[in-house]
Amino acid sequence: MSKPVLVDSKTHQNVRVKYAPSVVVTPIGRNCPVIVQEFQHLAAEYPIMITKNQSTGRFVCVALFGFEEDENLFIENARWQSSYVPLNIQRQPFLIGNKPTASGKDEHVVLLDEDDERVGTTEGEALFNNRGFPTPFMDKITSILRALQVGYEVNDKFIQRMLDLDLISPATFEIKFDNGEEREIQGLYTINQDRLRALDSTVAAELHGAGFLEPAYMMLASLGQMQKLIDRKNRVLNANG
Amino acid sequence: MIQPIRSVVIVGGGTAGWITAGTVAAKHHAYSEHGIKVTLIEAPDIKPIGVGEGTWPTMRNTLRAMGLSETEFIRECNVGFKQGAKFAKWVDGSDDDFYYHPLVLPAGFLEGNLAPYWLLHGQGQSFSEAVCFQEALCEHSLAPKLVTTPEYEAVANYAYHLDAGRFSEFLKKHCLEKLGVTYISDRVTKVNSAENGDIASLSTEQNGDLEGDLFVDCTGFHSLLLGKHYKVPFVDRSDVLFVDRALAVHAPYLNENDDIVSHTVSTGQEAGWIWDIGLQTRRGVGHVYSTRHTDRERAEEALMAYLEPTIGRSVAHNLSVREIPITSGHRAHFWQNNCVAIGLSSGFLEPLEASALVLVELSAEMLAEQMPTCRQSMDIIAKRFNDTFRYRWDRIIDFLKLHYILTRRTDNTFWTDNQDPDTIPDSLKELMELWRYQHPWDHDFTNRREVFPAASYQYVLYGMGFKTESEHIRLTEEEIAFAQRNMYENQQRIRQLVANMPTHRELVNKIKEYGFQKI
Ligand SMILES: Cc1cc2nc3c(=O)[nH]c(=O)nc-3n(C[C@H](O)[C@H](O)[C@H](O)COP(=O)(O)OP(=O)(O)OC[C@H]3O[C@@H](n4cnc5c(N)ncnc54)[C@H](O)[C@@H]3O)c2cc1C
Repeated sequence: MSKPVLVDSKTHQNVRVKYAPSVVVTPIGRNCPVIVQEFQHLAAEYPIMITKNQSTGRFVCVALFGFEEDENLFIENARWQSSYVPLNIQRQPFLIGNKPTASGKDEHVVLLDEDDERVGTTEGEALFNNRGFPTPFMDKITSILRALQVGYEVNDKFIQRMLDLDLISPATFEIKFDNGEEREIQGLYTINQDRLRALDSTVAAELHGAGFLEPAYMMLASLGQMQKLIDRKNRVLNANG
Repeated sequence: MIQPIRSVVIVGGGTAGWITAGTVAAKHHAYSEHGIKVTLIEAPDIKPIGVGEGTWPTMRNTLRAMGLSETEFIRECNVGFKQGAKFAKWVDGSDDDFYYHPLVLPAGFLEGNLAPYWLLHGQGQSFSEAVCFQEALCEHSLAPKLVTTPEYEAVANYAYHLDAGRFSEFLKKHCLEKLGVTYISDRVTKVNSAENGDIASLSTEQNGDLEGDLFVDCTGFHSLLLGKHYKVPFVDRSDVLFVDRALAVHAPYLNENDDIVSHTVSTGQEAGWIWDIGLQTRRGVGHVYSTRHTDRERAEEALMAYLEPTIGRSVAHNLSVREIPITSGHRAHFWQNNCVAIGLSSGFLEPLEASALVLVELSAEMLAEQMPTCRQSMDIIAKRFNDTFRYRWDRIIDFLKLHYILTRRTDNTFWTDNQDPDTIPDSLKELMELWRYQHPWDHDFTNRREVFPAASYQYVLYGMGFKTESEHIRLTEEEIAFAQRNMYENQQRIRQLVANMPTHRELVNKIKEYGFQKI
């Protein structure tokens, strides 16, 4: 169970977090939401895909880690086996919360999952110094959360623009693993390369200006990681078989 | 000299008028200079009939072809999903008497027929339960799709329940804003003929004479062009289908978040039946009955008795009840000269299988797809259209009558009269004779113009307790294995779907909040 509470210099004066993003504590399934601003780092490691949020049906950008519901082929011995860990994992055990304000518009606040096993009072990074000011660690966390917050908004605009231009298409993969198992991966979408190339130059320029052309191409480039993901799966299968 | 078809004039702005306008305008680029101009004229003081809330799965394609968003349609027309019909109290009238006509085909239907095996070995379960998973979704008020399912696509085949008034408004807006349809709010007062008997123009109260190359009569029961002007005879079919009156109400939900039933419920009454259609914010309920077998007072009592258990006595008795006379039948033909009738102007049959709007859609589609290029070719297309739709009306009449002829109810002569052989069309008698010895299958319905597939006949026949003689039928091992596998997989699918599908209400709420994606 998670128990997110508002981070506060008084309550959390003595709290410390054993922070090491490449050590996996909470289970991470086959994908996680990612933001446009980190596509460049991600594209070198993972397929970046678009999928639907199961409870809203809205499109979200994700990095793909596996093929089955709970499969994460990047985790071995509870450690991430890649050089870039998505921001959404780097932020843990912190998260963004919304606090209603008098103006009616929600304010974003930093929450800490106090039930997370990394949270304690003896080991790890302090959140606040003795004078109650945020430590450099806390500043770093705050900036990650802020980047995510802004990033999700950019993502939504990016996806909306792609949808408006009819640039998103279903991506079906028919995969055959070494053990003979054949699997059709559904529910994933990507940028339609032909239509992206065929955009007229004013639209392309407009997309470039908005910063949307580069992530679109980066998503396409990241599809090359699909084969590597299959290779990872085969390695696991062969090791177990 | 060739007279090209450049302009289509539709008279009437009920559902039939707007579906026709949208379908023709989308197909023939009404907004473009080189397309066909589509004009719709509607009398502001003659209200559309405002009933007609049950549809067929064809509606999904009809809306998509017009370029409409399913999300907006569902939000704006108070739409609920319809996964078929539940017929209660049709077999013997007892409280637990019901069967389903779901929209999903029996399992494995494209490869083989499960009816023979079911009749021999599957009797522990009803036919629809044994061969189709949809009944389980309906019984649990579950949705036919997920919020992640793209627009118009399904997990379980579905149609809609909609608010007829809002639907016309919704189509109108789209036709005018997106499809380039021209709208005139005015009454047609006179039809002006050309020498060859064609309609040359229509006189209006305030807009002068309206010319056109092809006129579509969507004036509802008025049948202004086909009936009144051309005097095409009305073929009365009330000798087969007895229902001739409707009492309709809008019933509220007691709680905003009450389940929305995801199928039409049709409950047999002493001299007719009651439809019950769940929309987002209300139900549409109506009693259709035969005035030859009961009177208005008794019919209204039956309607109240039906409503009271769900909404309470005082709410039920305060609803305003609308009485609508109906005559079962259709015009002898539907296309005469340069005029074609679509909708109630062409005829009407009791709404037992929601066959009116589907005929509108099929007519609009055939008109759009086979639009004559010029007057010279029109009579040939007209003949084809007339043959096609006469065939369809006859098949629908057969299928509706099928619901009545197998009943064991004897509580009123309404039911026993329905079984009188003189009231049963010969075409249906012949099929019934065939089905005594062999199970309905695709080759019984080979015509491209078919409206109901063999599956529908199976659901109704076996739902009503009909038995095809099976003693002489031998099944091969393959056929047995095929049936067992499909029926087993069907049960698994039921378990999986019942555990995972959202409720109908939950899905509707999500559509309101998030909408579907197009892909
Ligand atoms: C009790 C009942 C239940 C039904 N249930 C179902 C169902 O569940 N499913 C289903 O598919 N169908 C059902 N129907 C049928 C369905 O309601 C109709 O097929 C559908 O509404 C189409 O009607 P329409 O557009 O043909 O006619 P109307 O809605 O009557 O429209 C007629 C139009 O013609 C215009 N008009 C008339 N005269 C003139 C004139 N002189 N000048 C200009 N304009 C004129 C009017 O202004 C109006 O706009 C039901 C019908 C009834 C009676």
